[in-house]
Amino acid sequence: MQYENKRDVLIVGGGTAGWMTAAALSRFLDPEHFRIRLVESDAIGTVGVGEATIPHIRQFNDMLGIDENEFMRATNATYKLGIQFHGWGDKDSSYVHPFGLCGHDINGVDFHHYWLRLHAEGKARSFGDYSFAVQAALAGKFDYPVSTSDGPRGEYGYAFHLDATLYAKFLRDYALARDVQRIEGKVVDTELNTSSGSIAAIKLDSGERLMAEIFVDCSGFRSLLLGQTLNVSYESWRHWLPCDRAVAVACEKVSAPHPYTQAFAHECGWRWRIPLTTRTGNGLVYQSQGMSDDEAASRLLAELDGPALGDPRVIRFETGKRDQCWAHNCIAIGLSSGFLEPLESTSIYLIQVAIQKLLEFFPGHEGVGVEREVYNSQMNLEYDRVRDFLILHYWLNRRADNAFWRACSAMELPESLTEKVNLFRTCGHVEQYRQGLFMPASWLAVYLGQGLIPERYDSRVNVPALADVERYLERVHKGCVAELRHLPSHAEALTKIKMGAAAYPPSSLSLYGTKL
Amino acid sequence: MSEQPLKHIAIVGQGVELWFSTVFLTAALKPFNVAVTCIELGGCANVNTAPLEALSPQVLRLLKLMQIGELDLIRQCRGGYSLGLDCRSVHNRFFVPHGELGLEPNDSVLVGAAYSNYAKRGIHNLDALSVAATAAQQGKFAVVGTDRPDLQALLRYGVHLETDRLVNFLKHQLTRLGATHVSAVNEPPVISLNRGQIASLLCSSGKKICADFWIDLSANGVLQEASKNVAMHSLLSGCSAVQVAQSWREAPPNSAARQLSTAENVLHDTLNSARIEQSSLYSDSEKALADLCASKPLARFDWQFSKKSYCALASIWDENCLRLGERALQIPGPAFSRLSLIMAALVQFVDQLPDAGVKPALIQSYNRNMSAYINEAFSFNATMFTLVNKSYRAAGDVPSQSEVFSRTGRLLPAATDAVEPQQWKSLLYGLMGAPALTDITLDRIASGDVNKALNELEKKIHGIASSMPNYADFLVRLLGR
Repeated sequence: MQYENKRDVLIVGGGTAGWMTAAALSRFLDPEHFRIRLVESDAIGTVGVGEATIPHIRQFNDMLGIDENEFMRATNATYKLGIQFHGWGDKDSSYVHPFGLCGHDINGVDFHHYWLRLHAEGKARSFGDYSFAVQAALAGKFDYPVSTSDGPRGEYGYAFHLDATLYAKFLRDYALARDVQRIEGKVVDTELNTSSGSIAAIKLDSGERLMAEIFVDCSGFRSLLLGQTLNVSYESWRHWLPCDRAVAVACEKVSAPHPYTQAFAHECGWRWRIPLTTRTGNGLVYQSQGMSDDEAASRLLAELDGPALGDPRVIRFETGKRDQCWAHNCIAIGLSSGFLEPLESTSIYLIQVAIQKLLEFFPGHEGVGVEREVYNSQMNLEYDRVRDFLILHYWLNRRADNAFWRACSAMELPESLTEKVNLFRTCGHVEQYRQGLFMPASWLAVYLGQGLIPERYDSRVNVPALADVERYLERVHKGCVAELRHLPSHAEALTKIKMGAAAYPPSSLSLYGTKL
Repeated sequence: MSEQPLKHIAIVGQGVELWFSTVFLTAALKPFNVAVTCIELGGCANVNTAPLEALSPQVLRLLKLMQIGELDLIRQCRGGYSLGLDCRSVHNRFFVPHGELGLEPNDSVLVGAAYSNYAKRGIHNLDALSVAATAAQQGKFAVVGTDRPDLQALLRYGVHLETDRLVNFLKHQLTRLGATHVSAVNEPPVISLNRGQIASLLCSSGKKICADFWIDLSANGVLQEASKNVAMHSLLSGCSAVQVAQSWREAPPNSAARQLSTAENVLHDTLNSARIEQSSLYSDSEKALADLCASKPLARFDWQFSKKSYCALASIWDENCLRLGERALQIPGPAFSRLSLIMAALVQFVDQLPDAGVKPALIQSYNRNMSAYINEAFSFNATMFTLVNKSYRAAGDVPSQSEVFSRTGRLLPAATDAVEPQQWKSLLYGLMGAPALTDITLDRIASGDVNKALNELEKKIHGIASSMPNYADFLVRLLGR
């Protein structure tokens, strides 16, 4: 079949978003019917977002038929059981948001209500002590979850720390091997179809003009097609998420990698630490109003735990989202559609979910119908869910030590978040929803981790004797500790990957393992 | 930290809804020392006098918590089973099963592939991909034991029970559980309020009942203050009520399914217990309904006519009262009985059981979740009326499931468990056929391979259904035990 008869998909931009999109489309779209091309320029650097991921990435790789061991070796990946937050509640506080559950309900009453009762009596351990994923993470241990287990081994999921640039390269090789055509060049102009308002073609610095039926904008912050060409406006969330800069640098690995990401709050934002097998990724996120770029870079360099492997690189951003991720014949994926800081490692997830929804609601040949409306509404919801969860971290700080954090805790929350917080604060219940990321286990980790103890708990937990509740919770904790003894260290688990001998479990679209 | 717990709940109402709700709440809250009083209003007006009551699979799941043996209940109430809705229109016949399509979760891809494949082959239903549909159409049925978890999700069922026997059964359960029962309140009770909350109810007998929390199942909403401005959901555009005609006769069941058919633009819903067949006719035209009932062969039955409104309060939970009566919550049609809606409301209430004090945030969250549930239930019910060419549409349902499915073959994500995905898929494919767009992720799979995989799946499903017992024999054995 000739190219003229094929539907043309043109991806603009070749970072993580571009190559993830190219790989997924090349996996599913029939080359008999589609031509997939990707334009990128070696002269333009990529942001290389998302060195830390959440468990959903396993499902994406699975969908592409990628062997997990091979992927881990190619991207210098380590395992990840959650994120440790330092100084987000009190200045000296620390908690882990795990990819796992914490205890079980009894007679239909959630575990955390029992914990709240013991906490009120001063007899509770920290909430994370009842979570296997937290215990394993802090002990530096890792093994695969066992979906058939009724105990703690069946109640967690895992993700990876990876080199995003290597991941993009890995997927590029995957896509190129499946008929994706890579075109080197910089986009210098775009051409609109005057009658429909859709994008007709792009023009490269080489003078080449590329036409397509569907344009996928993966051009990063510049949002060349959706933002600059189609003028889809950007909704800023700066009033809720005040940081607008990050400075990033890798450093030498000086110790065995932790199986968790670290997020340290500082006077004007926060700092990440992401351990890979070969190096450690570091970054400092800050509000430019309160900290200069030089100050941030010095601060970051001073806090590295090994020698820096290059010069710190400043990234400017504004948190927010385009009003529509899909307009006319252009679908923006990744930073071109919106940006949320990587506090909960959601960057790659938002790319993944955009790709999966694009495949679900792929535009029809004869024109676009309701699929665009549904896609936009579902992507808006995904962004809003993550946004609210990130805002919670800032708002819930209990640091009165400086103006930045005081302003954060005084901010007016979005209505959707106010309702969730009020529900928890007044009666200890966690709002449940089926769509979007972050279920009650995540909300509880942050609420309780940052010290929001509700005014009341479910009074049904007062019915059993206190000693019985104490015994039950202790049994949960000891169950975790007992299982932990048999777990190999994270370093040992990574060695298996090197040797290609790891038999990983099936993936699932859940943050907490296969049970949820 | 924890304030005064809820100690006493009073439920006011009549009929099977009152008894089922009371048994459920008593059993669910007994471990927590919450007392439940059941206040039975006198008179038969507005009580559901239909000879059969349908329990959905969701309601059946509550029996364990209620400490009721399912088989015992079915035997005592001379019940019949339903694996789903067997729908027949002038142009098509299709089954809307309670159980999953395919044999395992991965088969959902094949179900998607079946839309265009079947359409090309002139097959206008997904029945061959459903164990439930295949079994029901073969006159087969089985209750799956815990040793076959793989089949449990495929053969989920509801039951149809004789109402008077069910009431007696539930009354007996209530005695066993030790709930208080106050009956024969003939006059509208006098309600005392304290700071906007219902404090007590004075019966015509002079008995005064105090409770922390109230559940109003009464048809007229006796706990509703007359002065209160009640906001209703705007449920649908195009219709606010439906005319209903109901009749019954003694007849053994044909299959383990509820039947839905059309005649003269009237929706005809038939359900069977072991010995009774109950028919309900729905139409927006009183004349059309009367004409149909007067025509052969329906004229020989004794039809009871009524008008049922679509109702849903915007705030089911108000202060210390859940309002679940007919004027507060009703979606007439074959998909959702009042009892199933009430139980959904009570399950959520128990999940988030309040303390004695009212928490606005909790009420807001509850009402929002219930609104979502009602909207999804209503949307499914409204879509069913497409069978008789009525284009009712849930208000705010934009785009609707029908629009999204007919274009993309996908479903809008559900916010609640009111309707299972396979119910939507079977209904929408049966009504509309193949979507306009094919699943792009199947593009690389050769049609021959899809055919082969579908044939294999159909064959396996057919084999499973064939190996099941005959439904009539199954019922005879069950009831004869």
